[in-house]
Amino acid sequence: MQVTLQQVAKQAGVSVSTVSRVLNNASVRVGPETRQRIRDIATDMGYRANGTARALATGKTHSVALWADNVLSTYYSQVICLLRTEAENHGYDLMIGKADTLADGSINSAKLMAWPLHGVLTIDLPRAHIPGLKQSLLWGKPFLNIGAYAEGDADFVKVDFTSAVIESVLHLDSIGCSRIANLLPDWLDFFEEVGDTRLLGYQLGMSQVGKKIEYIFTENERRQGTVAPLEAYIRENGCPQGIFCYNDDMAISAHLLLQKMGLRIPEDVALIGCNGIDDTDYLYPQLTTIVQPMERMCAMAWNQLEKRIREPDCALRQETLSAHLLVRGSTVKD
Amino acid sequence: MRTSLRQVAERAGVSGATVSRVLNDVNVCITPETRQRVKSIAAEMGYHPNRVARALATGRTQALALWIVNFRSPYYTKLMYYNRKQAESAGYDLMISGAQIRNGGSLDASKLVSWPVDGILAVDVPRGETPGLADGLFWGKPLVNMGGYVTDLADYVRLDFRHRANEAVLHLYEVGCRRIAYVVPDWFEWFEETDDPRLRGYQDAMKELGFEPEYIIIPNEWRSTAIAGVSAYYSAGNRPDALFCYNDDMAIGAYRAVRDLGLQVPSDVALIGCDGIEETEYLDPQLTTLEQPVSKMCEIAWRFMQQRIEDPSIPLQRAVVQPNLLIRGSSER
Repeated sequence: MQVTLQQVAKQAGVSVSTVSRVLNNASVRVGPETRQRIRDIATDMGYRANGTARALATGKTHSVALWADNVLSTYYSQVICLLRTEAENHGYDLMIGKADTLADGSINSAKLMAWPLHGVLTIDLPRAHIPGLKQSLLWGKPFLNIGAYAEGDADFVKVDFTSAVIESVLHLDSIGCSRIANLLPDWLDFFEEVGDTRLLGYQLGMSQVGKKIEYIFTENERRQGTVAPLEAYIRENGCPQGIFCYNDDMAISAHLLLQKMGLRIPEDVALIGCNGIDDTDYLYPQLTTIVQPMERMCAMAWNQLEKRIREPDCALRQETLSAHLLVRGSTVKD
Repeated sequence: MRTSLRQVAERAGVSGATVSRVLNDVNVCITPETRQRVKSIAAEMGYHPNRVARALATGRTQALALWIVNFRSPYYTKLMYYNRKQAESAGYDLMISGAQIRNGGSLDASKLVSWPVDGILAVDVPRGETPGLADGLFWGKPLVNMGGYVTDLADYVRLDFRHRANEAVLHLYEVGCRRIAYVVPDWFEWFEETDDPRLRGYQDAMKELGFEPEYIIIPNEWRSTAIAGVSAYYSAGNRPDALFCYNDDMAIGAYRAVRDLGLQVPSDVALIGCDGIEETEYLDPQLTTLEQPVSKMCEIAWRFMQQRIEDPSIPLQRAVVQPNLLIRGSSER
């Protein structure tokens, strides 16, 4: 038999509205001990709100959808983990969805929007037309995007790599690298079109040190797609003394391959990654990398999303954070 | 104003029933071109079916919750990835939730069960009581659990490390290691309670070899604490020549500690981890590990879930899967 709110209130010796507010994480003047006691009693008695009925009544489920394409990459999983912590701390649940691209290249949000969501967060959403997006509302629901490629008629927290990449190139030059290459996926058209700040930083840095641009193209941005193209390139052209990689996954893959080819890091080739994922700490030598301010990005994103949930028509807020260079063993020569 | 089904049908020049079938992915004879066209028009017009109303009508929401204790580890990320893949291919959405533990050690799932989901996929159900769980249902909702630690009150896919852990330790002996320590979190009380297969596998093998077990006990299962713990253990003058580690994260931490002390892997210290996370391939030398069949585990769990949703009263469903001992550079001498 379904336990009622009244029964829980009676057992706890408080009013029905107090129980309701505590269980719904609403604001109410109740001490933490009492809150916990009411939750414990409700759990022990098997009380549960009828989520579907509540959602129908209020139009809300206290959940936020997160669109992320590649949840297997460590970078995305770190961001997802941080966002989930934010959601939890603010009494929300997170639904993990994937952006669905239609034949004409535009983004289909219909399935997601059919949920009674409070809002939508995206990480590096594919660059495409998003029907229904206006003034940071997607079909009327708060929308915010984060990451290196954030943009559009919406709130965003964007990461800019330009100055950190310039610094990386200057750093490689200062330790005596005569050739400094950029290892990146073969998406130059896309990078040029969106003004990719990693590519821009590399080009500006190379012009400052007066060196010739050297690209090493990989199949994709993942670990597996890096090995064969990089190996073939080095066999044909010799190895540059410095390599700046598009992301840490590619740098980690290069790290292993270069050592297997008998090249020493950093003596023969110095290596720099990008993003600052945990995995870079555990290589030998540790990887020099460009660190994204992930915690800050996620906290700011959540604040802004909550603000837009409260005030759907508030002014757009578009923030840009800078990444910074963390120098470690893969570029420090004795 | 909200767009109606009828408006979409009118614009697409098809019947309302056709629009409904396309958007609900009902398998009837409609050409791919028409399907695509209807979807595009619906998306352009901002039409979306009201899932809550539909859920009240059908009793199904086409959404599942994935319940995970610790998201930060790459192993759990992998599980999330494969579960989402399964969900997507079956037209389900996935909500993720962390398990909340109350002061007394039992689970607080009041929030989780009030979600409008059709079932709950749980990974490594934490120890302690789970009020409301019986006969495969958690407060009336199907629950399927998977991983190294499962409860038999619900359908499960259990990963059994015992045989492979045993094999891994014997393998270390065969390559010449004579002092094989187990790097393990300080959860012995729980290990005894759950008859932990990894611990048993290690103990069985040590007994077979006539060795006393040697434990390097770490406060938790993380990399950073494993570095400190292993480093302190060696610095105190202990010299195991092989380390079997509770998980890959701890093995990666141990690897770093050993290298920082100026010892070589595998010639001075051979290393074995557990789980088979991607990163083990990218260490030099690569890490020997007990690789979990994550994709297979998720597939079976998903099948169990669909059957339990279809008929909540079926007998409990159980499967046991084995990891695979992947021998690589860190244990080859």
